[in-house]
Amino acid sequence: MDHSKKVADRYLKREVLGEGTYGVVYKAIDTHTGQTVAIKKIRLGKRKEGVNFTALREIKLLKELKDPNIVELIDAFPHKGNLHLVFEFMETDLEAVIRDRNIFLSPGDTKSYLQMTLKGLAYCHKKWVLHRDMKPNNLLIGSNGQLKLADFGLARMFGSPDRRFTHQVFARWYRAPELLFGAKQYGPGVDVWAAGCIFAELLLRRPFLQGTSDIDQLGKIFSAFGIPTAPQWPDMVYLPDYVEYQYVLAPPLRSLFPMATDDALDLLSKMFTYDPKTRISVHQALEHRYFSSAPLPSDPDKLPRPAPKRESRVSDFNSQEGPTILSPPRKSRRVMPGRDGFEGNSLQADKVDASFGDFRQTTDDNTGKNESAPMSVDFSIFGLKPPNRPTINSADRSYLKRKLDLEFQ
Amino acid sequence: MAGLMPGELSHHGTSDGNSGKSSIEKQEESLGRWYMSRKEIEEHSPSRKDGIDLKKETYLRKSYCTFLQDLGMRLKVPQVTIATAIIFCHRFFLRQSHAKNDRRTIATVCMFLAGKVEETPRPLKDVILVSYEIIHKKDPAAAQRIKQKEVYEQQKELILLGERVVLATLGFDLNVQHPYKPLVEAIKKFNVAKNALAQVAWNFVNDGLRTSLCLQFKPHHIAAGAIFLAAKFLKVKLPSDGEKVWWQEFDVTPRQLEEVSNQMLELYEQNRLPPAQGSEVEGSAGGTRAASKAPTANEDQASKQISSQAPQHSSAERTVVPQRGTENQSNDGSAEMGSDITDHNLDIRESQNSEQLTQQDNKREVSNRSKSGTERDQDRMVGTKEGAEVGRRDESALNNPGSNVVRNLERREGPLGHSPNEAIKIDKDKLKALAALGKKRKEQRGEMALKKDVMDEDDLIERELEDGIELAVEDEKNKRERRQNWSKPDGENHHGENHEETRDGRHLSMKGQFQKDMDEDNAEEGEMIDDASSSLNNRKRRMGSPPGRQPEMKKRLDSSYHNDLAE
Repeated sequence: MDHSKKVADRYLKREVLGEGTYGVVYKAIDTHTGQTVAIKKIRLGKRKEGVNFTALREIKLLKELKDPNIVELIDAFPHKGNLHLVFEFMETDLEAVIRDRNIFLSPGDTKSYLQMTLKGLAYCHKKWVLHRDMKPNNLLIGSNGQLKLADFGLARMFGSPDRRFTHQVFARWYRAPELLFGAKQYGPGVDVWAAGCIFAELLLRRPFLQGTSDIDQLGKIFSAFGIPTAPQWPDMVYLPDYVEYQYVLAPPLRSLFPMATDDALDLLSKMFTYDPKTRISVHQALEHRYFSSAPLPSDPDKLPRPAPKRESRVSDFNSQEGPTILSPPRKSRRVMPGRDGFEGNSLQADKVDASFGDFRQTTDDNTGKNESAPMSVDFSIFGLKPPNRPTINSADRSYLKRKLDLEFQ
Repeated sequence: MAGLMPGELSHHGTSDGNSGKSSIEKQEESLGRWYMSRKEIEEHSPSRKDGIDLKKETYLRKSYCTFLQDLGMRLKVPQVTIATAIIFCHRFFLRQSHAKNDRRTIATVCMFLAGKVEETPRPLKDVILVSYEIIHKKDPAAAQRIKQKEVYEQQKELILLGERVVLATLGFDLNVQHPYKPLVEAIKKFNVAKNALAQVAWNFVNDGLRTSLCLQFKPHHIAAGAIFLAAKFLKVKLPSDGEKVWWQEFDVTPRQLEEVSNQMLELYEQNRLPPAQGSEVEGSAGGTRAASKAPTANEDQASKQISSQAPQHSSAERTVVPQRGTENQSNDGSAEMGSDITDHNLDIRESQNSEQLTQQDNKREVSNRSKSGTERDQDRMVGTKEGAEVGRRDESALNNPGSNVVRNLERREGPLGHSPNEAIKIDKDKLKALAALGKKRKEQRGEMALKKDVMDEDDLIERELEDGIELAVEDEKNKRERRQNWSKPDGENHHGENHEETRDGRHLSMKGQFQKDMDEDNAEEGEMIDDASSSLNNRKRRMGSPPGRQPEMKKRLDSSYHNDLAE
């Protein structure tokens, strides 16, 4: 292993940036080039099935994907029983930008972030790769303001006939309805739905559909967009985990995004189309008039940066902790999903008020605090803060792990 | 054997200065490091420094390829996974010596790794057990020994450590493209014997995996060569749209097509005498005999070309075959001549003398060729060398100099026309080959019906023998066909330009077709299965396993997983 030692010595280790599912990510200096890099260390140790499946997948796909909006895998080497992946260093991520109340995002800024997200995604889909874990903290931002997709551990080739995939992908808040109904055959539409959630999050400055379980996630989707009708989504009744929900009329989209322009609302509605077959593609989305109408997307190097505090500088590739939502509890106005009539109107009013509340908070000098809250608690009842941003939870993860290890196509 | 040493030493002394490739993109650089010329592969292999000669290394390569094919079929992985494992293994031994790495351990690691990379993972336990069974298949106690925890854990550690070594050696280049996809895409466009053509070409691709072709040529070049050979084998004429030749859609040059086809055919030439089972020494001896035939075959063909009369040519062909058989059977390899000494026997002696000269001194061989060859032979040899250069330059994407050389070649090859006599020869040979193939096919069907077990190494070698005998007949026709190709110099540049224009369109349509034709793909695969031989039929069935089987396989794997949990 003399070779691997030489390779390892090339990288001068610095501080830890974060810890993910499969190992630590730390900052380092490439002594050959002077370049700052991020090294993801993947534990091999006593692995039962050798080098981790997702690590191999990430390596394989990132070697194939070379694009300005996709993070670059510079090198890979084994050392001391671990596998090291060397990435270009990225200053921060989109999640930090969204939750930083000191940052004001202009309409052009929002447009720029979404455009770069979709450009990276378009390249993936052009190469027949689904990302399957689109969320703000997997969208890294470099020192030059460029946004890049990262973490391809759940990514997958698509396009082969009869390939069946697991439906246990995406962090729940970004999971498309067909996945929540257990679909095994799906396509790039699942990434588009997640990108739509990210778009909504950029507009709202908070996560959009914060379900606490799969059923709750579906409930929140249907509260926002109405129960899908047969003409809207003919195939939904055939999905494995389909369940019927009580009818809810869709509130006007503008009531959910009062600050958005007509073009933005139009693009959002197309990204949140229920039927994956008619959902807008990434390519079509990039051609939408939203990106060509004024104001144009901001130049990346002019985009605002998070405050240079130690906490917000952490760039975590596989964060399991989400931000704490700082909106105060409004117990009297919270309405359970699925109810209609007068209470529905109350829900709308609650949404509007929440949005204004968020706007006011942009003047506050608070930064995100990470406080854990039990996932199963309904915060609207007990007045607790809303739950942390979920990654794939433990049950999902073990199921996913089992699927990935044993699934054969 | 002692006589070979000076030649080998002189080979080692030769230095080939092909270093210093510069690429614009990292991706190109990454891909480029796994492609090199045949000369580099054969002369600068890491195994060479450890005293493993070319013949033994060739034997070892076939050995681990056969092993991987068997292992993959028993693990029930798709052919693409097997192909990926084989390429991983080829690339590994491009960088590491056989002397320091047991080929079957490395092959097992490559299969385990390919399973994960190609999204068809197999539990490590299964891989180890099946691999151990194959390696020790003649040891009755092995099946029980591997189930002892201590023995199993030892194997497991070996594989896990090997995985890291293989990954590092491969530079984590895990994306591997295969000829299958361009092959199927191309044959869809033909309107002749699609299924039979695809099946035979698929077979050529699989067999070609045992050579170093995939370290020299890109997948679409190999696909073109396979289609070319399949068409010859089936006597199918490939379509030409006006002046456009079918292979120009592959972005392949005639030289590349020729080189790929020749190397695929070499596989069958060399395998006429199967390597003996048992000790490594016997294996090496087998390799020696196989390699020694290649120059013999070349000399025979040269002598055939010298004789200008058709009747003698045909009779010479007939008499040479039994003579070769006799030569193969004798232990010391010396030929025993019949009492009847004819001109043809004299030809055989001459070829033997040439063979000895080859073993002693390459330079003499060159001069010998120049003496015995006619002017036409000289032109052909020159063309071949320049063709090789063109091929290399095409690989490095130096278009302008390449096209110039191609034009020169076209002019030189112009005078090589075909006389009416040669046309007659081709027709006669076709008729004979057709009769022979008819017999072979009947025999093969009968034999295939008898074989129901999963084929092991011996069976595969027997199949290669049969294929080799058939394809030896085809070999001569291929040479004539190549001459025909060379005699069409006009418009090649023009076609090349057209090809560049349509390249992007073809890629786009390819993607679109790929999605749209999902149902058609399934139907075609079904049809191919119907036409296939029983063995390939099994393989196909496994590749496209019906829905009913998947739950069964899942259950088995799930139970395996539960067993792991129990542990």
